[in-house]
Amino acid sequence: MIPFFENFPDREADWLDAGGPASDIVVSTRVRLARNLETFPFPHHASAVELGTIFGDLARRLPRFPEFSGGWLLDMDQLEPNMRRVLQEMNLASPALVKVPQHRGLVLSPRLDRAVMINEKDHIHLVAFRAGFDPSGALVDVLRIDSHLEQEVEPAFAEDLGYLTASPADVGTGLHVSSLIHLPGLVLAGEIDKVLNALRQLQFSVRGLLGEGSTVRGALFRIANLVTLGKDEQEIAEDFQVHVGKIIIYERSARDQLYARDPLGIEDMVHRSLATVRQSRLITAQETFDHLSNIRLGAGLGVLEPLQPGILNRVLMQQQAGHLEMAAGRPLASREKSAARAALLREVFAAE
Amino acid sequence: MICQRCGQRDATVHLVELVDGHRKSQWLCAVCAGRASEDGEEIPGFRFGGNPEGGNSEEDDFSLANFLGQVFEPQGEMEQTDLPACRVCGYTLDQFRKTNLLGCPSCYEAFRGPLLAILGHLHRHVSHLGKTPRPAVEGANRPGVLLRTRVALEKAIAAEDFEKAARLRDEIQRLESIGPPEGTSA
Repeated sequence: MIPFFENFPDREADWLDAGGPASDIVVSTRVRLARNLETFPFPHHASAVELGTIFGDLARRLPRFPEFSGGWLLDMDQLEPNMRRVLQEMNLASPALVKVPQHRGLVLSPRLDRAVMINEKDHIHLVAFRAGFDPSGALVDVLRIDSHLEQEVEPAFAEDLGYLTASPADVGTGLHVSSLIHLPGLVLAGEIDKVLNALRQLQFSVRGLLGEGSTVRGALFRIANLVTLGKDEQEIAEDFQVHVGKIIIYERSARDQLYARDPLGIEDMVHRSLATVRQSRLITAQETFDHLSNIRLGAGLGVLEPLQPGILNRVLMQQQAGHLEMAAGRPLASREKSAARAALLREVFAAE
Repeated sequence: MICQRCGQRDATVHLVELVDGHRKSQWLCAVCAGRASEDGEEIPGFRFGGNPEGGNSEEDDFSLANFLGQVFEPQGEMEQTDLPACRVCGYTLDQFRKTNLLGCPSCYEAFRGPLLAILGHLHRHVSHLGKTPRPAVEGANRPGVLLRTRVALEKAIAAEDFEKAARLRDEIQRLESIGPPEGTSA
């Protein structure tokens, strides 16, 4: 057993429990800096020998950074497929890292709030996570890792274009700020397309965590900046803070208006969802997303007793297929997953 | 070729649009091509796609393929030989068009013209204003520092932060007085 996966799932990211700013609406914020080594081709164009050299070198240096002291170094290739899947479900590893694990690695801080992906789209992706809506805080964290990195390696950098990245969409700062945001009020009010299109006009990418457009499930959206060049790091984080901050205000007012207009309807919807997760024997992931979304909305409106902080975020993670199989200790058929998911939900939401 | 819109800068982008079913072709510089989309002109096929698998990737996939295929057209056989493969890693513009990724840091030099056009579209800017890897050796990257400081000055004035603006103005005067760095031609 690989030490990281012992005592799973106790090792779930405990920073999620902290709540954080605007945590009634924003689940988490993630900031990434893309960096490359000057003397090597980008990972997709590098040979196995080159990738191995890069991985070996970085795997020796990165775990010595103070952020990663007492943390983990994971060689993706050494992990079982389901372990990789669990890391992806926790948003610690990207799909690219999971799909092609050879010479790919992941360095994690003890609390899983900082990470470095080795040989993802770029040689180095420095990542910091914060609970709730905190782009500036996460930026500070990731820049601190970058300052250690600069002592160790010569990054690919051009005076006019900044940090050079495999994709021209990341060049300049290499900075990617994103938040996972829960917008059930705007979805129910039918305002969501308008709001999201406005964000797209402002050069942000927006997509449903599950599904797109009218088929979006759980009202969960990932919003991220698209512009990485021509602004400094603080300005990118501030612009994100300002524009996504407006969405948070719209969402609050949409929720309040919906509840004021039809309190009984909202209460009925929320309590039906709570009853479903307390009673189901078989439940799909998509259905779970919808009910958890309603319960989260209900807790935010005060329709339900306040929930334990972070519990919904944790359940959203644990009800995914990889986590269920990890908990069961074996692969599960589709129906078995539905049963395991229902059992998890019954346990978490058991009536007092 | 000169940009057909501003008539000043070199054209590096071939903008192809379908207007009433007719193909309308324009040669533009990076700046005007960037503005074309700001002006609300539809750039055919230029879009940011979501993750087709709908997974929970936080890295946003985007597709340059259509953009490159339809907007930036290689300027025929002759012109393509103007952009040889990257001499460091051997990557070609054609490979870039297929993958949306560059081969190595030196590719940014090798494919500079078309890349500037693309960067203008993606970011609306083509100059880095963020941090540099290490505290710059005094004078070594003076043009970049100067540019950044001038932009910061403009922003400070726009924000009516005159205390900061005065400080930045002094810094610009100081940088200008240092003169060009050694070993570079002015």
